Amino acid sequence: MRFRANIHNPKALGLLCQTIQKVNKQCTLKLDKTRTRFICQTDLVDGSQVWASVKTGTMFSQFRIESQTEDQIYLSVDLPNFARAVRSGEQATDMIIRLSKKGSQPMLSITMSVQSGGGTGGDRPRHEITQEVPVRVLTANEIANLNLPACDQPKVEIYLPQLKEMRNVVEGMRVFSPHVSLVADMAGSLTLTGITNTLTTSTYFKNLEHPIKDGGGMHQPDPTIKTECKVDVKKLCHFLQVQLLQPRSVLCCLVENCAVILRVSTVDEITLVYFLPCVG
Amino acid sequence: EMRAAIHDNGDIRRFAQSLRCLSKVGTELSIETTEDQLIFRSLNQSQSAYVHFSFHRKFFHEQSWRADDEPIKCRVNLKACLASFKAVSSMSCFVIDIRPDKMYLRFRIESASGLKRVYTFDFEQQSNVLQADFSRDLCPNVVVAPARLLSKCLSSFRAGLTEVTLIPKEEQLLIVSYSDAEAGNLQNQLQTESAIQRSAFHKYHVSPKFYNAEITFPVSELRAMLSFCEHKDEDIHLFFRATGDPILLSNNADGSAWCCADTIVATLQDDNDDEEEEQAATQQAMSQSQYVSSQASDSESLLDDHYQAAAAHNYHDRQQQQRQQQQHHHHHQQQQLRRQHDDNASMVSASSGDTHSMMSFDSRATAMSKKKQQQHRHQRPQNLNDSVSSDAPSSAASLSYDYTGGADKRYAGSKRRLAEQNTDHDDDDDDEDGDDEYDSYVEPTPQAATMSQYPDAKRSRNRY
Repeated sequence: MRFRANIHNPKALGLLCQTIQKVNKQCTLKLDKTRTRFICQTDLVDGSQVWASVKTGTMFSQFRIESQTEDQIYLSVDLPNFARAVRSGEQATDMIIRLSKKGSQPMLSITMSVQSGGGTGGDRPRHEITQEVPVRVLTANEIANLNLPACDQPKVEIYLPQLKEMRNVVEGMRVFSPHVSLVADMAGSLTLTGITNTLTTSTYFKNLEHPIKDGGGMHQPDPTIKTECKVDVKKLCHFLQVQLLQPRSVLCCLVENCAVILRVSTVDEITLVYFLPCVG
Repeated sequence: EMRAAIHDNGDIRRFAQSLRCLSKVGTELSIETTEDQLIFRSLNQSQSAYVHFSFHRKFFHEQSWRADDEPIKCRVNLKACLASFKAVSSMSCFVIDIRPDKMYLRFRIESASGLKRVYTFDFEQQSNVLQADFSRDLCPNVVVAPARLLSKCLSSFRAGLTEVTLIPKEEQLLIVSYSDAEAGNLQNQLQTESAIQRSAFHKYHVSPKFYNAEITFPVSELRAMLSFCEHKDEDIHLFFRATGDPILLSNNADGSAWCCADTIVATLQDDNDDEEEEQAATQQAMSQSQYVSSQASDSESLLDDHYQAAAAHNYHDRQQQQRQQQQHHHHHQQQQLRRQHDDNASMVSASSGDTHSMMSFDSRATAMSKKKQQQHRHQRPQNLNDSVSSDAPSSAASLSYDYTGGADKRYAGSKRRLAEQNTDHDDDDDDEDGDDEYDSYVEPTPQAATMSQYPDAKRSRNRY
């Protein structure tokens, strides 16, 4: 099992880690020549999950990988450590990441050369930094169990409004209500509601867009279809961290009694899929 | 009695920074005035870190203490002192007043907006002052770097870093994150290693026999010193010896600056936990020492190798060993031998002149077995003029300090003080003009000497 690559976009990689670490600090990292995936799952059956996928070429260059499982390597990595290591090289030239071993502990070794002292100017002396992130290689069993959660087809798919607006609303609801209920229909409206014994707060978004289906315009989706899903407000807040990556669009798919699926696509061509299970 | 004033905001900030640095180490500020210096000292609880700031009289714009004045020694609560510097950017004038007769320390601060504040702290008289018995002259190795450089370097280390290891090599200085294997969680911690090229330093004098020595110490004191030095964009000077010897962090090369900051930190002993290795090494050491006495000329190079081999632990292997061990054994003889080699002394007394060598180290202390702990406590000096005894094996003999007298005396409580003040107040008014307008406006703080009854209060109010 061998892996070696150059990280040429440490900032994006670091931000990605920072975003998804809210879901779970331990992340499954799947290294592959074409697409690299980050999978954060929580242990609970009804925990939230995020599956992030990025074209390997966007983050890495001179990617060399070899393994007995179709040249793919699955690792379990602690995200805060990894993010810290990667971000320390934001101003570095030549960041090389390698899978190595220290004793019996496998690790991702990142070596980089950073300019000492502040400011620009190529003549400054450089110092070398080596970061070692302990990782764990997944067993075949664990790899086999790595599946996208099974869900029915969503009836309602709607693009979310500006995440900044949503964040304010949800953070406000977080204060008093443990759950937020999302109600959306295919006519461009989305309602967020927070309920307690004494108080009900609703925020109405309208004129939202819907994805155009590839059905060749066979039939317009029925505007009266409405779906309601109730999710944990904290998890929704964690998802909203994705704002750090400046996503281009966020598609919210509601599957009744199952989950809220949020598909995020960013400028850097990173796609993230969040699964927020429905509650109650 | 002593008074000094600073009129420049930049210098006031420096002063405040020094208090900040002191407060990161200890809880009490020990103040001493000498012929021409004002000295602040602080010691941490486990006596493994010692900070010493000395301000030359020229640092102050005005000072009233004279060379023949009786030296003042006292101790105040450090946090309280630091709290008076909250809004340091607006301060235009700072006056420090120490009155041993009245048992208080006073800060008078004027800000540019005209606001005047007076902070009064009562203190304990100290008839002895704790000083660490360690100096630059004892260190063959000096490394000088811009504080910014090391600061930047440390920023790439993991967030929960407590200890760091310096490893000087021929062409570079390695700074490595230190993980105490017993603290667990080795599998989850980010390990960082940073190598700074020799050319990045302003001075890099490391004697070859100390190459690959591992100097491990807590990073908080280093950070405190770095932030102090960075404030004025100064260089930080590191003076060190071998593994286990204290390291001196300083903002100046020779102690002659107007504002000198020195921090002495204990470093981790290089104790071998493996019993077999201990025995083997001891045997080796014994045979080596015999070699010494017989062949003086060749001995040095041989001993150097031995030393290097012993000191240059493979980082990984050592971690493995530590992980396997439950207890720490002490490699007294090996260390004794090492010290001898350093000093070219004979085998007989390892302790001569080496009063500085070892320092107790907190994390180790907790891991030690009870027996060792007792020994350790026993050794923590009540009578510090003795050098470290070579008989008692302990993982860390204490840093030797000089007490210049007996135990601290505690004066009677504030009541007595108050009585003194009331009776003395009249005299005061006559002596010092500046005092009046402030005295009656003193805020009663918990630390302040409560001055409630002023027979002359009316008079001063009118004046104001």
